[in-house]
Amino acid sequence: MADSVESGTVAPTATDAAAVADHMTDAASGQAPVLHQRFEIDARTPLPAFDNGTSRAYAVTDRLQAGRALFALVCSPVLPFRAHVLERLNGSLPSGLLPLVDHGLVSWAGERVPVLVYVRPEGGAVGAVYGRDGRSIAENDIIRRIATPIVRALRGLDSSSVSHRNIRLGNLYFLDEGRSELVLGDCVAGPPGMAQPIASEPVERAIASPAGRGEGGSADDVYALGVALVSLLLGYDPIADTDDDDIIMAKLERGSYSVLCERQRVPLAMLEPLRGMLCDEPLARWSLDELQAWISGGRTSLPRRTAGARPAAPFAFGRKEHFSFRTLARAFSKDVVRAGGVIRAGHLELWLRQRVRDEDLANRVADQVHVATKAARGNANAEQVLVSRVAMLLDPRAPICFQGLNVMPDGIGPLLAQRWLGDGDAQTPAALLQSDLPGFWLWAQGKDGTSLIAAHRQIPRLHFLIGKQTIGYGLERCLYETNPGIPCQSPLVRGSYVLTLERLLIALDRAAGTAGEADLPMDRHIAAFIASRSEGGTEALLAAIGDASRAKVVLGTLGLLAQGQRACGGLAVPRLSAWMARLLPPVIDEFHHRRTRREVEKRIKAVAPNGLLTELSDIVNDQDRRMSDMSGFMAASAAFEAASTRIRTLESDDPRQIARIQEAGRSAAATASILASAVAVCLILMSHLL
Amino acid sequence: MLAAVVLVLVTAFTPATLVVLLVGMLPTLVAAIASRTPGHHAVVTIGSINFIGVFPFVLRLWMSGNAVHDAAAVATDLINLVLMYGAAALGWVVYLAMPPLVVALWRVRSRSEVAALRARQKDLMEEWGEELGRPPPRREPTPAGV
Repeated sequence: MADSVESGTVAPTATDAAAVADHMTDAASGQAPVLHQRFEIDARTPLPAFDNGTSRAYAVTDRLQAGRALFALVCSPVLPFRAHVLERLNGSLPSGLLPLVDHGLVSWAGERVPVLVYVRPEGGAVGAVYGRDGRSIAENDIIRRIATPIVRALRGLDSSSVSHRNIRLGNLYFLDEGRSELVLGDCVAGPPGMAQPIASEPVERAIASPAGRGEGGSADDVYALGVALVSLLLGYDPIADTDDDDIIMAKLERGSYSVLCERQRVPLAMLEPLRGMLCDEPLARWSLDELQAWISGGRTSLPRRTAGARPAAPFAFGRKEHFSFRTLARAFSKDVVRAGGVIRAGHLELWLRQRVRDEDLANRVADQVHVATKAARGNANAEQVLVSRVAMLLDPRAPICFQGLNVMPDGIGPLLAQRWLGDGDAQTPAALLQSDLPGFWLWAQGKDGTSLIAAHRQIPRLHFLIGKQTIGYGLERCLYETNPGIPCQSPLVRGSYVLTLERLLIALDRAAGTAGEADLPMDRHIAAFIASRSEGGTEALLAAIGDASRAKVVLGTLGLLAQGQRACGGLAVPRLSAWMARLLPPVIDEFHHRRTRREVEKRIKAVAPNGLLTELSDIVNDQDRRMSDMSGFMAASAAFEAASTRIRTLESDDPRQIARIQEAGRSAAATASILASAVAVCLILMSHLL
Repeated sequence: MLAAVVLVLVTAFTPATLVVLLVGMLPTLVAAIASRTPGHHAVVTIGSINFIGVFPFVLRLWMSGNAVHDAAAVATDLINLVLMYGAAALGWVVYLAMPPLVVALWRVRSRSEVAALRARQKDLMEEWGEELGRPPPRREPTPAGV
């Protein structure tokens, strides 16, 4: 979205771009918020039927095409939206999804927020018509009207490595009034899966906190489609009246297919596809290709059942007897204190050895108890980490549980953003990252984890970033690395909803007018934001910004901003450039040669109005000039010191020196006397002889 | 030439010449006995100038036949003795005055050199700044890519 917004409005200089943004804001503050001077959003006409989770829908008027039926989804300012989805889809959604007309930022209730303008589906939401009150869809229609367009849309998304993660009856729409064309609703406005009901999420993601359900993949979309199809086939939601926790426990104990389809009048021909779609093993669940084969009438196969070993006796915990590792893991996660006691006492290990006869798992649990015992001293989270790790060993697919948080590793980013933007308490996610529980989760996946390429790349990186507390790293960096759709939170630019480096430069250019003399256009958020949005090579610059020397801080700041400017094609930022030029004296003072200083000052004054930070950076970072200055200074220092030493020697009146000179004087006296004597003798002889 | 030298040496070691030399060079003998400096600069300086005072009388003795009684007359004449010992005293004066004189000359030259060095230092400071006169700061290398 951000790219698209910027690409539509950014002119060659930041000032021009800012003017466009100002215009947008002015329009907004007048009457109705207007997107791109075209789409008026009527805040007085909410359309709750099109709400998506925390994103609210409102009527929209197209100034160029009056009468066009549109609606706008206004994203929540305290949640990240899925900017990377729009980026991967190049700003337009594939067919089979609700047509996206435009998107961008508008001022809304005093804040700039992302807005998505969609075509208003004339047929309304599928869930408003079918799947309730006994209104079902026949199995033949299910394939033609529902499954076919959805699978086509999902395949379109999958080809761009995007999952929808918002498939539910309330977010499936009939585009036309005749209800013949079905489309998937919005999948961009909020964190993936957050708006989904518990029943529509695979059990491991259902356990996770809504914002932490994770990006997931097409397998999760297939599961959600399966859940939606069950309701459409039955004409009602078979678990509508069931408590969320009971749904989860039932799915863990009996499996999703059993929970949703058993004792229901599901058409016989639909049993196999539903079993394929609702399989709780993500790797065994039907893929989009298998769904396509089913739709096309080709051969399909039932997913392989992987029945876990049933223990000879249950494990009693929390007034319940557990025959399943998964339910036991869930129970442990919900009662950490008691679980810690049970695990430390060795009851679990004993049960695993004697009743389950799983020596390998028992040894792993024993190892974790040993590790926790050693780490317990001085570690307040030791008990929580032990229970989390043991829960992961029992149910590797389950989300990470930590201090009341349940989060899938690919959902850490949105959850962190929700905590940060919402209640401002990000300490629990920070402690989770510091404990390296995500790394343990990845390890616990065993050979199933080898396909989690993104997790293998991201999890160790996050652990490294959270462990480094200097500027440009830490929790802020984790926040931006895991959330492409979160704006920069720096107080300097917070009002501008900065999502890209380009917008950041523009916002800083605008902030230059109110900056104090000594203020730096840099803080922990800006540093982390630039570092996370850059291609790399920022380590040395961040180290400079974290230095105690003011000159290095300024130099690092200029270098980092210049790198950002380079990355966005050299957008000119004259006011920011002038701001940086004002801060450069300590850097210029690092040159020793007075004439060089004057030359550098002169060049900075000449270049600053151009708005090119890269040029400013090149001037103060001219390595040849610096080396020449340094070598010249070293030579001058040596000459100065030699002169000082000589002066000290000459002025010292050292008695030894004086004694040496006096001795030389005596020697001179002796020599002169001999010569005088010789001359006198010769003269006397000559006077007598001549 | 060789003959002249042999003649001088033979004549010099005659009793008459030795009497004049012993009496006339007596201050030098005293200085030689008393001197403990390694270079014996005092003996050389005093001896050389003392010899200038003695040599005319030795030469006159040689010209008058180099007789012992003439030598006694020279050695006992008060004026002669004053002249010979006065020369020795002049030697002492030269020996004592020369070192302070040389030190004074060295100081004049030093002051001139210090002034030139200070001027050079001032030029350097104008070109490179006052930090030249301070201890060098610890400088980390500029970060690559900055």
